[in-house]
Amino acid sequence: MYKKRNMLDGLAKGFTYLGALTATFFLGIILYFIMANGLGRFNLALLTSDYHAQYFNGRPLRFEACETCERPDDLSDDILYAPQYGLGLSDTRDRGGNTVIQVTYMHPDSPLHNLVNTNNLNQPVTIAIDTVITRISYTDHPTSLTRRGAASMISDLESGATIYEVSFSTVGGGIRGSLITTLILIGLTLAMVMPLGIATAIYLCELAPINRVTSTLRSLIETLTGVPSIIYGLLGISVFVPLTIRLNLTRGPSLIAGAMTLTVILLPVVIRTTEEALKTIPKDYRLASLALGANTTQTVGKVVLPNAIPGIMTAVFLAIGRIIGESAALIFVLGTAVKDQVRIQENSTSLAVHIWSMMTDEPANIELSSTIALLILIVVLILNIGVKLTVHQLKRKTG
Amino acid sequence: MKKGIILLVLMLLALAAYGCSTTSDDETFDGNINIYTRDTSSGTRDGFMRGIGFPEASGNDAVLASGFATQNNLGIMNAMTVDEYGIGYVSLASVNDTIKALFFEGVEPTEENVINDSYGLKRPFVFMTRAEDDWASEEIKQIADAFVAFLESLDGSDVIADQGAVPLPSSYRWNDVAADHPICAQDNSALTLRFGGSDSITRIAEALSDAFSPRCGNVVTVNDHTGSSDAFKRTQGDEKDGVNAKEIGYSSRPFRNEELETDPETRGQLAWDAIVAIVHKDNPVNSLTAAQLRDIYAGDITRWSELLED
Repeated sequence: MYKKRNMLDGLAKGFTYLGALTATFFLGIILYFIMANGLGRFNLALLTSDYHAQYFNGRPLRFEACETCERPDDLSDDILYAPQYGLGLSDTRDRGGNTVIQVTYMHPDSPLHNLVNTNNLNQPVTIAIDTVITRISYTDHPTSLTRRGAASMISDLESGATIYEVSFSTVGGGIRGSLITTLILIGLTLAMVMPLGIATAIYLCELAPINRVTSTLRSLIETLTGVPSIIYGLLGISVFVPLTIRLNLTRGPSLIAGAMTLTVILLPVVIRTTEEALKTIPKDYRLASLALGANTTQTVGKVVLPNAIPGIMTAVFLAIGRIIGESAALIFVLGTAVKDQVRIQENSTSLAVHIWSMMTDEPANIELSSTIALLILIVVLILNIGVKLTVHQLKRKTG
Repeated sequence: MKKGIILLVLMLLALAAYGCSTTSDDETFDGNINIYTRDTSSGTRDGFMRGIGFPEASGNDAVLASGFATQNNLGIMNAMTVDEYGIGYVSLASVNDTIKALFFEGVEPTEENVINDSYGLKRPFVFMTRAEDDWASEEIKQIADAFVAFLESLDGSDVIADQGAVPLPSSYRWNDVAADHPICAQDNSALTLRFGGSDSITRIAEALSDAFSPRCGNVVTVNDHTGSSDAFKRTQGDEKDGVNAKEIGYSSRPFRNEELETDPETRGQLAWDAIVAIVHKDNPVNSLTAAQLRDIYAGDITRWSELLED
């Protein structure tokens, strides 16, 4: 009898262990995948630099080869060198992981120091160290392109062909714009959703009469939690975007419209979570407050809300997580264009949508996508720790 | 507790053993062909199915052989590194040495063979501008005209080639025609040119925009890519006056049906993209014909041995 009991208990326990282990296993795999793919690209420069490279087109002023530009002895072996032009090139990758050819050495006598802007022949332009050479076209030779590599570009240069034009750019591929957009979205959305959500929750929990209308309202809100976010995206594009245009705030999809859409997506979540928090506060608190002569508003403001702050913070966590992770709705309402100069009345792209557009491109950029995923994890972690610390401080103050 | 752990360890071992089980050496390579395909909205799928003479499968899963797997570009690449009996297709730009690219009709998939037209399995990258009389302003129209001239120039071709697609042959440099577009001599940094359409050529489109901007008065370019069907919709279709309107839309499949009722002057092709049938590295098959590929995807050929007989 006991044996059977023990066995059944053991089995049940085993299942819980198995469940927990499987979950941990898969989460671990995801984390490992993101780390393995994304860590390599993760650096501060990626987060702080522009996505769009600044392009220049220059022509050499004189065409004769440089005679004094011999390869310096101390030049590293992995720099490929064209003595005729005094130019040292290397195959590297830009911030986004795309292969580029970068200028890693320039001889002081290099003729490429003196170029004129093709579009405005009076304006000098200069190739500097770290500039990316995107192409070199010749009058009598096929163009050298990035994808054929630095070695091929050097041999083209050394073939004696006459340079027609050099196109070069700054290093691009950074994700500063998408990061800023995401942070602004979080701020804007929280500023709208928290007051609305908390007010609704207070109404439902503290003030609303307990009758059929209230309970219907409550179950309707619960239903909204399950609506796919793409539906909210449609709402955003057909209501909020035209609304913001009508109000003369924007001229198309924008961060404002994006934040409004996210607000609607998040309202049910925030209401639900806040309401749960309010419910956990003992009824005695309220009764005590009322007995001391405080009215309902004072009770809610001075007794109920301060005690519900940890629960409300949970709502903030959930909201932040959802804002960062949302992509489907934002593709319409915010757009997929990666911006460097973010303005709230213009379109832009969040980190999650940035991942989406890189993964739909051919070939997909898995590395940078993983890096962004890693960044998202870090941002969520930092924000969560920050909010937790604030709550801790608040609790201390209020005792 | 202990029992649970033992049970777990056993299960994990079983899993590992299953994962590690290797198939015997393929002296006679044989197995059921596992078909991988893109979803019906994909431009790559459209190009592939039309290229192998199976156009009805472009937008319809029902005509495909049973048991096919729908994957995205990345999924197909990954599947071919592990599935010995699989077959899929990707764009030439995606091909790398982790998989085996098959010859099509005996022709190797290389850029040269696409340019000289001997490799037949390819799809066009096309674009569409707004209609002749439907521009926000005369300046924007002139800049868009200049952009089209730029992408058809040698300079534009270089940008396209650099991103892995095969541009159409071109005969002039941008600098030769820049004088025909006086708008580009002005400062255009207050004007915005909006691009949209196919999301699978985002990188090419962005590279073109970035290269064009300094050649045309630093005009602001915005690339917002959502899918090939939006190329027409947002320039000349339903959404042309909507909030997501665009000046120029790209498509990674040929325009069709209502899209072709537009003024031919507003449409053009920027490049070719070769589509390559790919298999696992250990697969002894090297080349397939259009008819064989069609039979595979239609389910008339189901085993690899049928392809190795001849």
